[in-house]
Amino acid sequence: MITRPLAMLALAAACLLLPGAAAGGEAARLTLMLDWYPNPNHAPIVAAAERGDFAALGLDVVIQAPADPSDPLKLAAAGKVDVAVSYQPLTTIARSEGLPVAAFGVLIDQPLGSVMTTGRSGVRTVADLAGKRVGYSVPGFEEALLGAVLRSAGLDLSDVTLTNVNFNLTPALLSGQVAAVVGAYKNYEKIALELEGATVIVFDLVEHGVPPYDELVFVASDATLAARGEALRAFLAGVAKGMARVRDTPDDALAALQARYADTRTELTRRAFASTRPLFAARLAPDPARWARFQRFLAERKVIARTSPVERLVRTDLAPR
Amino acid sequence: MRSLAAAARRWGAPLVLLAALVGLWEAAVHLLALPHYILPAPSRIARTLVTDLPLLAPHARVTAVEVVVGFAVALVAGLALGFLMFRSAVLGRALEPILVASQTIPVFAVAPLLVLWLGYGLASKVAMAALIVFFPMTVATLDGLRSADPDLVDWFRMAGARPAMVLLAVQVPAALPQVFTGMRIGATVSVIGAVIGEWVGADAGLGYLMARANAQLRVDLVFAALVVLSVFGVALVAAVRALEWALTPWRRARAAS
Amino acid sequence: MAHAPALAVRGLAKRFGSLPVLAGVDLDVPAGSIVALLGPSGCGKTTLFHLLAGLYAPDAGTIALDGTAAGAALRGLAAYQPQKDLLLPWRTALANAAVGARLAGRSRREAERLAAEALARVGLASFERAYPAALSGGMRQRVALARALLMERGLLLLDEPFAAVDALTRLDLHALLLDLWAERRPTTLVVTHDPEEAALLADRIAVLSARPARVVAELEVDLPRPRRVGDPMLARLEGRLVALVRQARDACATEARRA
Repeated sequence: MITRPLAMLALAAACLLLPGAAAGGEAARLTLMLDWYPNPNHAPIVAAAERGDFAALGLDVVIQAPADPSDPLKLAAAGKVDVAVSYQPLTTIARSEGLPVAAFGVLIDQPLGSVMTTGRSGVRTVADLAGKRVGYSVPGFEEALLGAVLRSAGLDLSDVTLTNVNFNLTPALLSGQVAAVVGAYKNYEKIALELEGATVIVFDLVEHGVPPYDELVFVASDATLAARGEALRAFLAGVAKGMARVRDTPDDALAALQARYADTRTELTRRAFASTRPLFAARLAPDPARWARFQRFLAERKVIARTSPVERLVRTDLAPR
Repeated sequence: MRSLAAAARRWGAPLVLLAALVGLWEAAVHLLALPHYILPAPSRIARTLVTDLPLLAPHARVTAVEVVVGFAVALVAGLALGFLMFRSAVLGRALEPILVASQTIPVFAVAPLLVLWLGYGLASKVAMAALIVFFPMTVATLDGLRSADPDLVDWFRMAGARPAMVLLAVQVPAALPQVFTGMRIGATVSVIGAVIGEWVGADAGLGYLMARANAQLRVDLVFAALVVLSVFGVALVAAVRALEWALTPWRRARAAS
Repeated sequence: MAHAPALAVRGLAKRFGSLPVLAGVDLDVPAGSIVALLGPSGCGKTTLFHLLAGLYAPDAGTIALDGTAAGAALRGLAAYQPQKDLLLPWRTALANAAVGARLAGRSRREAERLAAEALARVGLASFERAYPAALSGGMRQRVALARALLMERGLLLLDEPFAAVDALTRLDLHALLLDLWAERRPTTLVVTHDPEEAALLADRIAVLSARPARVVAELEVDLPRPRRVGDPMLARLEGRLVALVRQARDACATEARRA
């Protein structure tokens, strides 16, 4: 494997060479790394940035896309970006692995990932998955989620063959190489599959025994949380304004996204945006009870070896009331 | 005693250099206070290698099989095609540009397709490894067979030797050094091929383990897997060298005289 | 050992592209005799040998064995020993010599036994296991001689076989060659640019011009064998040969100037 160590060395080099994200002059500068390439899940952030909401709060938010979904947490932990967009499960794993990071805001407060199959696969219920091959993309915690879903039908992981298809969820499903995938977003991959003419069946995680969790959260390092609380508070206020734009003036919010990122000017994005609009969090503050419950779930499923006190996982005081 | 001294001469320099680089790495991580999730120190990787051996071993076995089978498939196919291109000038001319063009295709682009065509099991990884090894093997075989001394070939023809004898006595032995060079290159890249295949889609193997460890923010485990992969590559090259040593005794004659 | 034929070459011509190499060579080698072809380096001797050994066909002229014209059938009839020893680097002295016997159709086992005998005959009994790279130039030529011997051909073609070895070794090899020849008397054609070598070995000497080559002079050598370097008769013969070769070269140069 050549690219992996190279990517890591590049990351290490970036850590050495990039100036640390520090407080700027008049407008406080915040660097933000998305979890994935820009898509409708990021619409509130982009709308707030494009329409001047951050600027009005005295913020200059610099948005970057990652090379790998695990990069934002690492770079936030190392203080090279101020804010990472990441996932509740991954953030919990990171804390367990000793990365000094905590979530301080919620972007989408329900799982988007699901167990998904197509009409062609012959799978109609979770029980039909027995003996089938199931693909997943981030082999970090998806098997724990699948395990819970399978248990809801009296099965366990040994009843299926798990295959890491590494972000090729849609082609793997369409080609029939796997009978189902876990981790496919019900507001994105589902639409991509439907655009290809497939009939899509979604098994919702929460309806099948997975404790509810926040799909997308804002994460910062302990150091950034301690030093730049006010900037982060302003940032969440800006995100709330962006969410209001998505809710109230959706066409303008979508236009902002598509103006900034040319590769989102697609039918898929337009449809995904429409189905994502109702999914953004109503409360931006993370819910400690929900995080504690989900951490317990990960520990029971042996995804993490150490649990952390919940106040080290989340900061609840930075979100607007 | 003398063999000990010879071994020291042979392995001394690389070992010292390796130790120096590892030491530099260790020092850099500590001096620059690089967090372990950005770049783990060698000492941490070594610890992971020991404590996570039960986790690494089954994945290492899977990758080892993929590498060896892929290498063997490419070896046989490369020898066969190189030989056919040598025997048939038309075939040689027809295939050479296609072969060269095929090498400009980045394997990373092909890997997801191979997985879709051949599935997520052994076949796609073997195909991936074989695909990378195949080209240097074919070229080495073809060039090797062509490298036979034309005067020697002429002598055998004038002496009335049948083509099979010319091939076996002259052209094949003449090709061996280049074939072994091709095999050494192939041995190292076969590891890369198998891991790319696993990275794109697999149930097991070191590439899979690395993708997984990376997603779980276990960078030390990623590097531990890389260490195991390097050992594979070195071991395979050593095996090729041993075979070369055994099959080309005449190349040591000059040194002996 | 195959029967030693009489070799007759008539009007042999060959050109490579626009380069004429042989321009009508006439040559007779009586059965069982040694004829030396003496000529300046690069005069087309090797091409003549390739034609005689049947590697490729002449543009014009004939090669006859015992009065019968032979075309591509020449291939495999002669034992050819080039200036380069052309041993297989990947085979031991024994295995290299055995190649000759294998080419004569002997079984693998028999070939090895014959090769061991032949190596002993050329004084290399203790070097059976040595690879060519570990042998001196003279030793390699001895192995090549053993190999040529084991090919059991009635026709022996030697292309400056001893040009690359030192003078003393060359004399030893001449003696060895004559010993071996005396045993079975193959029809032998030896190319050389060394008048002494020609005088020492041959029953008859043909002098070749510079390229494009043809035979410009022929003389019989009726000196008894063994001949010794320093024999005044031999020295006189060498003197004549030097004069003839020089004449051939100068004539050629004049022709070239005229052209």
